[in-house]
Amino acid sequence: MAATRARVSSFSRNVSTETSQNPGLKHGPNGTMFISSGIPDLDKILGGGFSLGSLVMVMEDAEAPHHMLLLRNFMSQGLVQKQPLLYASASRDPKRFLGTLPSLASLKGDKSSDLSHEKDLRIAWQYKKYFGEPQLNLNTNNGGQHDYCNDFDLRKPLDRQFFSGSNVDCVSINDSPNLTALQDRCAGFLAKFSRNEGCIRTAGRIAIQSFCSPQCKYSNEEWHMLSFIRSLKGMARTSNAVVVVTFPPSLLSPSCSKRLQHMADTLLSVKTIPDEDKELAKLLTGYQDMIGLLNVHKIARLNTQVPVILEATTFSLKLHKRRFLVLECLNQAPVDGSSGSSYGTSGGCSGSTKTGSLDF
Amino acid sequence: MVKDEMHKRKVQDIPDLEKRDERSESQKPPEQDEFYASLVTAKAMIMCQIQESERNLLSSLKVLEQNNVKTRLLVNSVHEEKISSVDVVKGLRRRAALTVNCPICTYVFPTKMADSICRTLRDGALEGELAPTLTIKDSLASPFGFHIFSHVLLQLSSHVVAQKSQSQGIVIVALSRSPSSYTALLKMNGVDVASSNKWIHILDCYTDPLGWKDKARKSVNVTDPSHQISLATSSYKTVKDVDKLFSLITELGRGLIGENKARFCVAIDSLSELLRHASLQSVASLLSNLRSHDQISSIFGLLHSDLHEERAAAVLEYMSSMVGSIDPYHHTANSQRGYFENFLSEQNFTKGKFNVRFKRRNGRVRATCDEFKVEHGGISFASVSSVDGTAIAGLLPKVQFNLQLSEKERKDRSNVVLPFEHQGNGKPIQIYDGRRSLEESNIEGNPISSGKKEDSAKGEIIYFRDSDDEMPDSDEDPDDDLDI
Repeated sequence: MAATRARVSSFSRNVSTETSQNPGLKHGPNGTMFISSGIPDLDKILGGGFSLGSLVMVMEDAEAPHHMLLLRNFMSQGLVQKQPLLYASASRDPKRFLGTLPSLASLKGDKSSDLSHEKDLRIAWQYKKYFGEPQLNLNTNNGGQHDYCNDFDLRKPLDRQFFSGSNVDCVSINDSPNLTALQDRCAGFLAKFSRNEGCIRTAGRIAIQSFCSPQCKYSNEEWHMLSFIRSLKGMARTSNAVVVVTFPPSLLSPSCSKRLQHMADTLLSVKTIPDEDKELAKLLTGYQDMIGLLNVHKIARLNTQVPVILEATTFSLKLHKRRFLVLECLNQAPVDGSSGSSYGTSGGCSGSTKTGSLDF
Repeated sequence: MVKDEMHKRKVQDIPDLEKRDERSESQKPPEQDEFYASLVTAKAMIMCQIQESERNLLSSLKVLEQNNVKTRLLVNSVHEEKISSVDVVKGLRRRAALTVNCPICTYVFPTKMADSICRTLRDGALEGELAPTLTIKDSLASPFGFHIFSHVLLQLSSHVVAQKSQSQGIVIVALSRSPSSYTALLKMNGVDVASSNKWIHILDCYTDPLGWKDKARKSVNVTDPSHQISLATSSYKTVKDVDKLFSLITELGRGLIGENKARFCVAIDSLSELLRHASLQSVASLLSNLRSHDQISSIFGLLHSDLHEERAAAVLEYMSSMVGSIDPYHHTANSQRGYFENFLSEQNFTKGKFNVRFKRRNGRVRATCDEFKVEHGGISFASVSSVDGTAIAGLLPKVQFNLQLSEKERKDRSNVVLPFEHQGNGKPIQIYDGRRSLEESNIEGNPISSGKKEDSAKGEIIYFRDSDDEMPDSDEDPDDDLDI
């Protein structure tokens, strides 16, 4: 799986003790802070998580509900780490969606698979016989809440105690004739996380589901929607929050859809795969567990001009044991050589190998 | 004379076949009175219309086979569940193979596709889930949308009457056809109309959708011809008010099934008609409200896709969980002449292809393709397996390597003994110090020597040094210390 290495520069910043107090935040390159997306594999792909102040847009597939999986993990992660959440959707009762959020995975089942992987790595070393059995480093989880990123069990709903408090705010955009109401709510929410203060107390999360869904009254007014997203992006930039918006590009005019894509700092898209497809089953390993595909189009790079170029941008969405969302790089059966350029050649000059960036 | 003889022979021929038929009839069990076989001329093709259970069908076929009669079967069955059993399918297919010489030998019977749509609508919605919604899309090239719509309606009605479905009632929002035509449709297909008030209700938006007749009646005394509509009908005169339509539908539904946990289905005759009167956004909100209503089990509607801009079809596809599009039977690749050719291709007048895309709960999409044929009594389906490999290749990037291990490979890997692994297991630990100890060479030498005494004379490698300056090769094999 591709991972960008954190750039090590000769300038080192005095890292304050914020992160030890707040496990939900992590320092990123170029003076940015990350919060987790709720999916460990996605955090690795994005190089740490979602940058604070960025706008993440997810392009939905009209035929599949995978964007809901991403949203659910994102929201659950925020609630588990006590980060305030604002959720907006086009249904009449958005609170009902909170009942479908996944809860923390139980710790027993996971770690055994990790250990077996460790045992798989056998080293043939001449002097191994002089040492005893190597101490296996058991990574004990002290109650999952202190982790940066948790595994979520999609079959168990989240405990009510996490969202019954005043941490969660739900907005329905079904009945409002235009977007001003939503804009005001978002502005009010983001004002609480303004960056003018010195230290970051906590980060905020905004999740907007199916932004341009056709039953909303403003769904015909494309310019209003574009200007709303633009103002939201501006507000988010100056605050310690992450905004995730999902939208169905097939329901918009091509120009509007392209504009929304360009506005995003991080752009992901989900695609569906055909069911019981023998061709695909032959072509891909692990087809049985796959439920869809995830494409990473753009990754946010704040405070820098250097883009992130990933070695692979298409990942398969799998449900491990039907509970845990896992992203994997696509593994294809070996293809006859001449069917297009392989990714290996195109990734050769990737930007992640450069170390000459300026760090402030 | 000859003509007479021939004529006689012909006359005799037909009685022969009739006799055969009689013979086969006499061999049939008596309860097959309704079995009807008509003979078609010299090629002795028999067209059988069978409206019975499948066991009769198979035995009839056997009998016909024994009499060396090639058969062409046309099966029109109302008992959908019975025909869909696997044994019948096998039996029919086996028999069809025998008549391979006959060019028109096909068996046509209701198949999985229509079954799976109707089954999904019949099973309805789970608690907390949106109701399954079917959108049937047709176009001018293959305008059989209403046939398929009525097929689905009839299947669902039979399920409701037999109390096999989650829903206990159907509300039909009739926009493009009159209620009396629905009455006739149900009557023709054997549904008992008299008792249908309990489970079906038609919302008549066809007679007077904009309330003009009311206005006309006020100004001029026009007497409305009263027509007897057997089905329970309410007329709705303000189709433009979609919110009111929603509340009326839910009211009617509740009236049918009561206030308890029961559910009902909604059939929208023509979404195209609705889109004529109301905006796309309001139709979309109507659909989403219907889908999220607790008492609605499933929804299905018809759309004529070429009457609207693409966005309308895209929106309705987004909101539905099943999309069935009707395509012409022969689809010519040549776009210029294709349109007329499609028109003129005779088979397109009665046949077509029904492509359904199911959005499954696990997020995958199942695509099925079926052929259908519209006949006098109704519509019949045949399954067609179509493989479309081109679309898939576009989804995946071109990656050359498989970086994962299969189970067998994993096992093999774990069985490989690495060089130093076996040491420290109880045997004395030996440190290699550049010299082979006598023990080792003996141990290693014995198995070799025992087997190869005879071979030692045969193979030899003689090496001549190029020059005397070269350092003699050290006898140490750098791999010697790999202790496997």
